[in-house]
Amino acid sequence: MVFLTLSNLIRCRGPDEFWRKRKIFRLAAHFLGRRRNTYSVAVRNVHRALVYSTKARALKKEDMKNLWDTRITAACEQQNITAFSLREGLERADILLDRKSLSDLASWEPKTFESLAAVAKQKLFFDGFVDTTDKKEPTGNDINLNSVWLEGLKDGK
Amino acid sequence: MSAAKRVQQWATFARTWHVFDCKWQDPYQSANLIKKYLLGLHKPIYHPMNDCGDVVVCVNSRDIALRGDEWRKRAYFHHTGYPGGASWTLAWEVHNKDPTMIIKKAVYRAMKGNLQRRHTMQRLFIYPGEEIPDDVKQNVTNQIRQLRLVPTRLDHIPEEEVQKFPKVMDYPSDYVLK
Amino acid sequence: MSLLSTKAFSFLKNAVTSPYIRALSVTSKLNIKELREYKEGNKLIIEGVSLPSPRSELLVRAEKIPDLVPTKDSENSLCYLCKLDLDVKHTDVLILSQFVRSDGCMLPRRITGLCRMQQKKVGRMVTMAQKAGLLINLTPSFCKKDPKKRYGYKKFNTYYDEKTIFWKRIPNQNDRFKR
Repeated sequence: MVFLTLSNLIRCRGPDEFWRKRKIFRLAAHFLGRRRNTYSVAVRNVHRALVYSTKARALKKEDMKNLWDTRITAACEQQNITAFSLREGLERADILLDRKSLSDLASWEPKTFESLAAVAKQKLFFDGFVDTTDKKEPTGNDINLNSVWLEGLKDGK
Repeated sequence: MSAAKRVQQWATFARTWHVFDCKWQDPYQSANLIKKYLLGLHKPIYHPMNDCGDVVVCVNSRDIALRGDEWRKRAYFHHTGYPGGASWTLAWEVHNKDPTMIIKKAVYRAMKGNLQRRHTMQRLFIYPGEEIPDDVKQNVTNQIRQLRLVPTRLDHIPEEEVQKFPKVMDYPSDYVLK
Repeated sequence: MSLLSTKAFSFLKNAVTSPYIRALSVTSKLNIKELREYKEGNKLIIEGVSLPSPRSELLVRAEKIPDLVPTKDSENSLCYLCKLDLDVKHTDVLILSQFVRSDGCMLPRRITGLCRMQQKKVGRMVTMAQKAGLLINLTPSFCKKDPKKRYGYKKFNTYYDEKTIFWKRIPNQNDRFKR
């Protein structure tokens, strides 16, 4: 805005009030009640929402990482290998795939993932690597076949 | 969507029925295992918003095993809501009353407390013995591997096998066999 | 005279009560495996017979296994169970029953020949197996043989963690809330 008179220039402090408030109201447009209609409430909530969204940018990455890890662990269990030894094996075999691509392969291309797991297993076997995190085997030294319940189920049918 | 794709979709999201034998299993450790199957965490297509959980049928819940002295040390809390309405029940008393209660509570507590939890619990069937209804039995296609081995009692091992088993300890020469 | 009477008294007393009287036995002391008792006419004969141990055939020792032959001198001082390096659990009743009398009593260390730690460990594991109802044929005759017929909390299945054997103190449930 152009103010030719000095008195008007003094009166004008900063940007126009309407546009300043409108910027906030646009950001509060999806809120409900006084949170979107009253400036003094809206501005507080908008600031809070912006802080949340800043923090969420980091949290989203973490959530996605957890989700990929869950999926990779699930797929590894099907291939009878732990997620730790899969990573170790692939790294030693110079197959540098990240979590995202591994989990995509696990859900969309199970056969590819199966062969990747086979490669990792073979590489670890050649290197003589022992996975100490593998707790899948039940403790003890004798598998009591009498307790395999599904066998009894077959006889009953 | 082509017919083949549609069938693939059905097959991917179909519920599998698993059976889990609770004989000599720790309920609190096996709850984490059962939870994984109930929520679908064992599938590579898992997503929290995606209804891909399976059904788990627990059998022999009467024969669960607790560690050490937990049968008389672990207490289950209940409050009626009235003043002085608190009560603590020991694990063995709970198990006497209802042999399915301990494993049910263990699985319930293993899961995160969200709105989905009660619906997920509907997919868990627990039976105290080996007998399960036929309409449940005909769906079962998979067995979850037990976490602990079922121990064998010495009197269930044939006498010959006990005699033949390699010995670690030998008696001293001046020992009177009792 | 008084001296003579005291001598005679002490001799008689020794003859009646002293353990030395048993030293007069003909067979060598305790060098037996089995006590046999039978009647010949109207004589009761109790005989101690030295027999070969039924276990010596099946005995497993680390010295016989080529992979486990001790390399260091310090390992030579270990007891036979330590040398074998077995991961024995309380569910391994076939091993634990070897350290036990027929009434379920743990044998003392002078008979088992274990080191102090192993004796304690095996003893505790025998107790665990007894409590879990796995060794119930090795019990005194008055015991209830079926674990399901026990009273109260004892009738339910219990398993044990071998790690707790050498814990100084079992952690309290409330400890995790302490700051």
